[in-house]
Amino acid sequence: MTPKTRFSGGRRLFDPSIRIGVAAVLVLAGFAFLFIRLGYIQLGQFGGRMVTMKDRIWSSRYVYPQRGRILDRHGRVLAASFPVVSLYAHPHKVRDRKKLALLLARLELLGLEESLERLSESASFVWLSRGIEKDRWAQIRKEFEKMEGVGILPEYRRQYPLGAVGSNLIGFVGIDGLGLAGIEYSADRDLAGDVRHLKVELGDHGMPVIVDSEGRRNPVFRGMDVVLSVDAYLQEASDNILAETVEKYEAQAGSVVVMKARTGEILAMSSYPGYDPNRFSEYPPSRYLNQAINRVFEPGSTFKIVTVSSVISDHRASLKEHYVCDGHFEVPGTPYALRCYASHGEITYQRAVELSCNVGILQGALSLSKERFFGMIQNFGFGIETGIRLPGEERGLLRKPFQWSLLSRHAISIGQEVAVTNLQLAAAMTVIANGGNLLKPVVILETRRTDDRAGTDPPRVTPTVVRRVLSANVSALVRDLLESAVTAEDATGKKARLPDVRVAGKTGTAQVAKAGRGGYDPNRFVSSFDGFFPADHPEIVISVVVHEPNSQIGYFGGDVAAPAFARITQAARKLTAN
Amino acid sequence: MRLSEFRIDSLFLFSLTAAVLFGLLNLYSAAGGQDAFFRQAAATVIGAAICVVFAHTDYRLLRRYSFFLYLAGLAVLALTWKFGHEVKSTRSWIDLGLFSVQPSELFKALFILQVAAYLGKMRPEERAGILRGLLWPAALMAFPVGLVLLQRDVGTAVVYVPVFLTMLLMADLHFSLIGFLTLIGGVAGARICAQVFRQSGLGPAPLLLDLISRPPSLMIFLAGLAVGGVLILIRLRRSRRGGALVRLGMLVWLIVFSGVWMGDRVYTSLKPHQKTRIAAFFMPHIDPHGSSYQAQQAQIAVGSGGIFGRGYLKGTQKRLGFLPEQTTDFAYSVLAEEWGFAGSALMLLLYGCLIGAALEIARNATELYGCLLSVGAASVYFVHVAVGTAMNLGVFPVVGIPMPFLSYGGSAQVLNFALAGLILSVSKHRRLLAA
Repeated sequence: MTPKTRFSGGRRLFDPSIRIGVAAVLVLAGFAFLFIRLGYIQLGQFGGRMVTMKDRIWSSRYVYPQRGRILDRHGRVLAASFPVVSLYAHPHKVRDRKKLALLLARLELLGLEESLERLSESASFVWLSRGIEKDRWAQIRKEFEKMEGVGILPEYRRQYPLGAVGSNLIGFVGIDGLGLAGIEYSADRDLAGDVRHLKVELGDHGMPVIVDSEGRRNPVFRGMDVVLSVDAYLQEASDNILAETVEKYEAQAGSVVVMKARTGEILAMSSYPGYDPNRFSEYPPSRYLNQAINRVFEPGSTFKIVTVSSVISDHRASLKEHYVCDGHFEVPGTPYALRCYASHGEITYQRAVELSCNVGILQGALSLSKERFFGMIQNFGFGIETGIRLPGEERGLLRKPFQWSLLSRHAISIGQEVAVTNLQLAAAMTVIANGGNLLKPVVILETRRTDDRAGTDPPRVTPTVVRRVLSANVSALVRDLLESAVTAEDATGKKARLPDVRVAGKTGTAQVAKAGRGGYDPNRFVSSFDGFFPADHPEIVISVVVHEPNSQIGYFGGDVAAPAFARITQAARKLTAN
Repeated sequence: MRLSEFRIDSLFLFSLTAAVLFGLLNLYSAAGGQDAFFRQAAATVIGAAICVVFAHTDYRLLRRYSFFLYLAGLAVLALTWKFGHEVKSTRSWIDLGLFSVQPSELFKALFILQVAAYLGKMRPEERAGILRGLLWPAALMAFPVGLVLLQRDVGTAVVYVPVFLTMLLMADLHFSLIGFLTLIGGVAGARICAQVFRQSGLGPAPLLLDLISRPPSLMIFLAGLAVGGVLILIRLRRSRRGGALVRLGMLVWLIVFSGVWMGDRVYTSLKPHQKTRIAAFFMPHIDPHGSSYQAQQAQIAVGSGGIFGRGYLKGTQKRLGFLPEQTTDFAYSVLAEEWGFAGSALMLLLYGCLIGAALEIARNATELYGCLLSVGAASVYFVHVAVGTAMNLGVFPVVGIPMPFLSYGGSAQVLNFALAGLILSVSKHRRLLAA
């Protein structure tokens, strides 16, 4: 190394010392300023205070919770929401509308013309595409990075994994997250959760940072899960059987209610025609009707369970009495006659039930006073909503005794001049099946916080007894009567028979009243079967109603509805067996 | 003098290494152990290699090629403006597949080389000349600044100006010329601020600012009126003082006109958020959720550091995402939060040593060229450090300037290493000619 000699050549050609000194002073001044500022912020009185609430940036936000799930009694998912992103634009901030529209069309998010139209709106906010799945968004987000005036918002999309199964019961959710039908509507507040007004701190890019009590960042607020009493498998079986039956008989509509006789829990509630709630907007709104509760009809013979129960509870001996059926019954004081479908001759009351003889049944009912009969009908729950938590439940039609004509009590005793829902019929049948108590039908077992427990055992339900209607003895007598209405040689309900289980029930074949005028349409029927099993110790009530089957193919309740009842019974037994 | 035994380049090398390592350590925390850290580490390796090569090359060799390099660099800048890759609406990137390069960042080194070469060989009698002493150097700066402004990268463009002025000062150019340029810059800055006030509807700007924010045509008219008035006065007086007044009037008109013109150029290439940031800097209350948000969060982060900080990897501002741009503009805030005053002051001290050592190397340089190189490089460091830190401490608008060795940015890292290499080269090769 050469020795260090700073001025080895004598005087340098230049001497920058002064100017370097000036620069150094400036640099020093700069650093001094920065040091002071740093010390002021970190060590001064500001030090601790900078992190207090007051100095942070807060914002009030509405937090929309993730909608709760709808589960069946064993915890199977019937409806759930999952997070998606929705793409929006501020049209006036979009620089190149054509480019954006082309991009949207290429990614198949929105049609070219539609997007151009939306982007030329004067609104300050337009949706471009809603409900883009997260995976897909991760793939395509790069394309939108350079676009100005475009943004995304997190949303949730409702998914129904079982598709159309139980659709009329479960309902659906509109694109803005409001339940619009079925359980989604009636339990909307529980499912949606509270839209919270939170004071949150703002993070990077103005995104709110929410930290919950356990320190988790941006927790997801959830609505409550709603656990239904429905069993998904039974619901699916019941849906399928109903659909096959309705289609086989070219009927207009139909419904099934499967209920636990001792608790009032709805195990399945099917309605035809249905729809796929994942794509509800593609169906006409008439399909959203739940035929089991939103539609009333004259039940016909199925209603005779009420008449028979009333007669027996007041005049137990009447079972043994004989009546003569000559095919019609002339109502005293009126020009009308009520007809039977056959001339049954001299029969006992029990036979009248087995054969569903109108004349026999209504002759038995002559022993009841109008008011007593009306009271019994009311006791069975007709003429008033059952109170199930489902939207738009019909109460049916039941006129008060002072409004009755001379014809009325006879007509009502065989199921005319009253209108009922299928659910009311099923609930009335539980009275007979469980020993005399009218139970409030239950479809929502509980609402609980998500992930509270993962158990698959259905929660226990304490049945709500609306009132005691029959004594145990009377209901047992009626049960036997209804069993023989299936088991007797020539019983109307014989097609409901099953080889390995005793079933009981009552068929119904009602005519449909002509619109506007009096009288009945000779070709339009409501075929029904209302029954339960096992007959000696009833567990489950099943009520099948088929509206307006093609009378060329078949219209008797015993032909149309009873076989469906038998098949649903088999499906239900498989479930209760294990 | 015994002090000369103390190897000043050792101090430089030490503070450089310490700053680089501290910066990487902090970036690992700021980036949450993600991609950015590894990219930065790769850039560090490349930069260190370049630094070693430069340090062992005699910087005088570069003198011959500096103008060619400068022209080539300008061409690349122009190409970037035309065909570059856009990031956050700044078209200043060239995509090389594996990584992107920001030429405007790397060009700073070529700029310093060329300016140093030009000023270094300037004869003393030329220093007061209008053409050689003012227009040429001004042109050397105007081209790159113009091109970078066209790329809409104001932050990078503005850095060139103080660096250039420092080098002029160092080259002993006529103070009035520096003053002239500074005045133009001042007018331009005032014009920008005034425009920001006017356009963002923040109410009237202060009186003088308001005057200058009138449309340029009016300004020109007023200036011309003034000049005309002065001329008429001179015709009447025909005195020697009048001649001086004419020159003064011309000068004022030139300063105002070119300042306003430049201010408008810069203003139009400002992005909307930059405009609001400037406005928010003067009036933080106008938009606490938006523009001043970043600065405020940075201050909260720095403030919550206290004396010894929250501990490495434990900064809550950073972790919870309150701190924006935490790997780039606000990396220093992350450091301040996690290491407290002890760490952030140490980092400033390292910067100070780095710049001080560079100045000392410049003072000891063999000739003006080396001195200018070293001062230019040191001033690049200083501008980035000062503006960056001031931004983090809430005393400067958030303009997005990377801090040397601290902020994520491969091009900047390579440039900073290259500058260090130049400084070391000046230090290493100072004896050869002197002997």
